[in-house]
Amino acid sequence: MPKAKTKYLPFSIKNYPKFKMAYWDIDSGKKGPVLLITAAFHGNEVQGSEVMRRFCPIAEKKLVKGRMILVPFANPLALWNRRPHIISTLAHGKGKEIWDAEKKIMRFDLRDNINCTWPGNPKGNEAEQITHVLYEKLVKQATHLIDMHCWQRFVITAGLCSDDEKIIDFVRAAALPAIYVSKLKPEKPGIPKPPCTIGMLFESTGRIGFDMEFSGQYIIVEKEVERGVRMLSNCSKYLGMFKGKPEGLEETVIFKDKNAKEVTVTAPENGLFVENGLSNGDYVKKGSLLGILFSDRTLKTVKIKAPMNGYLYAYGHNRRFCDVDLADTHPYADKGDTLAIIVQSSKKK
Amino acid sequence: MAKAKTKYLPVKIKGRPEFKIAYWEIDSGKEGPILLITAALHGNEVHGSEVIRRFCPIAEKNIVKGRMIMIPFANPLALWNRRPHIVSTLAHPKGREIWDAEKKILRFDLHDNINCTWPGDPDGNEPSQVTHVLYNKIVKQATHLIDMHCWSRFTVTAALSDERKDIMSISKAAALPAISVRPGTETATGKIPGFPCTLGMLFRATGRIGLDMEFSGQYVLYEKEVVRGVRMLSNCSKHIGMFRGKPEGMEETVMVLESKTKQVPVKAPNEGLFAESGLSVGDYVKKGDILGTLFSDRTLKTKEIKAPVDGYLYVYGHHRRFCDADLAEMHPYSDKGDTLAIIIKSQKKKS
Repeated sequence: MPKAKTKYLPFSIKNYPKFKMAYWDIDSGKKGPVLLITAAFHGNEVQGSEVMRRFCPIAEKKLVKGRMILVPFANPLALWNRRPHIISTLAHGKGKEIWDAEKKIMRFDLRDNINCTWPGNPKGNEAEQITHVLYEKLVKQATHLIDMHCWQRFVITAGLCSDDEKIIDFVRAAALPAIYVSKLKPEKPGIPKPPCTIGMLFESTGRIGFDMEFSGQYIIVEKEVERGVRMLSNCSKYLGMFKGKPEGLEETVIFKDKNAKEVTVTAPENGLFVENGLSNGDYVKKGSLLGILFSDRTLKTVKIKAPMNGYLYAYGHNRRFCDVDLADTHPYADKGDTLAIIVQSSKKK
Repeated sequence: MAKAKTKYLPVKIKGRPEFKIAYWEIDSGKEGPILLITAALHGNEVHGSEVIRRFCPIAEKNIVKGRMIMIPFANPLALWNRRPHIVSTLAHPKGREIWDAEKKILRFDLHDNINCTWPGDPDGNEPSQVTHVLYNKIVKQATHLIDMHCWSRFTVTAALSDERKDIMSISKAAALPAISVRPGTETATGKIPGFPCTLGMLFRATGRIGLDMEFSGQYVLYEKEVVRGVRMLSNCSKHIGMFRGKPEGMEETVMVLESKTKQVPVKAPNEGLFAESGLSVGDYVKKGDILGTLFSDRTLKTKEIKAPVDGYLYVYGHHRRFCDADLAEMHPYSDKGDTLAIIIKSQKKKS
């Protein structure tokens, strides 16, 4: 049985004390894929870290070929900050705002987002210096990637990929409740221009990799962790690194691509949105009750019903910055706010 | 059957558009207590609002004497702000900080916290003007109060009581999982206390029955909490004779926290990600039970965190001081010495 070795990657980031990033390396001793698994690039997205902790002993037992590199805390400076980015603060949770001269708007500086800085820059900002070291020491040698993120609890757990069939197949093996085809297959091979995610980097350099998002930030949800451990086992089987076949492939998968028909359910008036005990991924029939809206102005209750048959892709009132601002997770909705997104499906699978 | 009337209290705040506070009034037509039920004095604490919505038709059916006044959204300006106070912002969610010359520290200005401003001031700041209107138009006439708040999801739902017998008695009737007892009693002097004065303090000091309570969880609505809240209101209505019957759930465990109660904090022995082991606040644990694991980012080693004593989980899960206002403070990553749980020592599981 191969043994996971704990290794340390040293970092010297300008203006920060030196630190080491711990990771596990499990080598079967046999040729095969080199699978890199990463979590917590954003400091508030830690479900993947716990997934990896539980997956490591399984991988030690089951690895039959190739090598696994598991990095549960891929951005310690953001983790210690307990916020998305290294430089995030309470008032600026998403990082610095800069003037976009082309669009003539203020926007967040994507260079603060570590997952837009691949393959890094030794002379760049903190995030770019970290990705530079990771790229040179770990990313270059990997043939496959699973990069675990988390989005807000209001959206279903999903694998994210391009429309490349090879990648979609790999994501299907993960048996997550949803697949979101969020981008086009890269036109030209080679390292893309910034902003470049680690998933894009793998794909454009001819390697297989995908990003995924658990449901829930700043939190560890048991159901999500179990789903994640199965995903890693399934993907290892798909690549032939474990024996056996992926499990849970018969379960419903919401496939959200450009052809998917989705409907956004919005608040007809202001009020407190009280969910009806449903969860993301649940199948709802047209007319079934999604929740109620309790008006603070009239004290009247308005029933919110599903406008069509389908699966709940997003559920619960939230607003744009709910990943950094508690107020944006509040169940009080203004008229027009989104309460749910349903992906159409005429029949429950 | 009594019918709930929807009424509106117009509120004019200097520098803000005029607005109305909607509330329900249910009159049995018979003499008896006037029970005031309030929720969401802090804009991020909305469990009580949904509790009142569900309780209203129950009250219509069951009220046999007295009158109920129910205000589900007692501070609309803070609700619309979706934060604790009217003046809360992302950067200053707890309100303004001011220099405390006596203690020589910066501290939050309690004038921004509406539940410190009773009985209000028509010439004061926004919350004082809101409480002034509520006090004169509604609070003055009530004989009893239940004021529903929420604290963070890491602490068990509790009634906040003091040693006064009638207050302890209604706190017990609420059948909540915990009663937190402040030392001493607030003497019913008949006089309104000085600043900072909460609505509960105002009731108790003026010889009336006032119960404050905290649900577990802010910025959310948990079904379990709402169900618990509806039962609390029914129970308290029975306790003061406004409904027929006896309070339910009295056989359930209630943690009583008083000065002599032994609270055992469980601290993180090192830094790491604290993964809870599926327990909830209020659960009974035995010495040696696993509370969770601490996964060190520095060594990748796992440490099991075990209960040091038998008892009830009063607090559970890693969080920090400002978790009611900042997502980062709810993060499960713990520094060495951070609190992971507080256990109320108890030898034997009740009921």
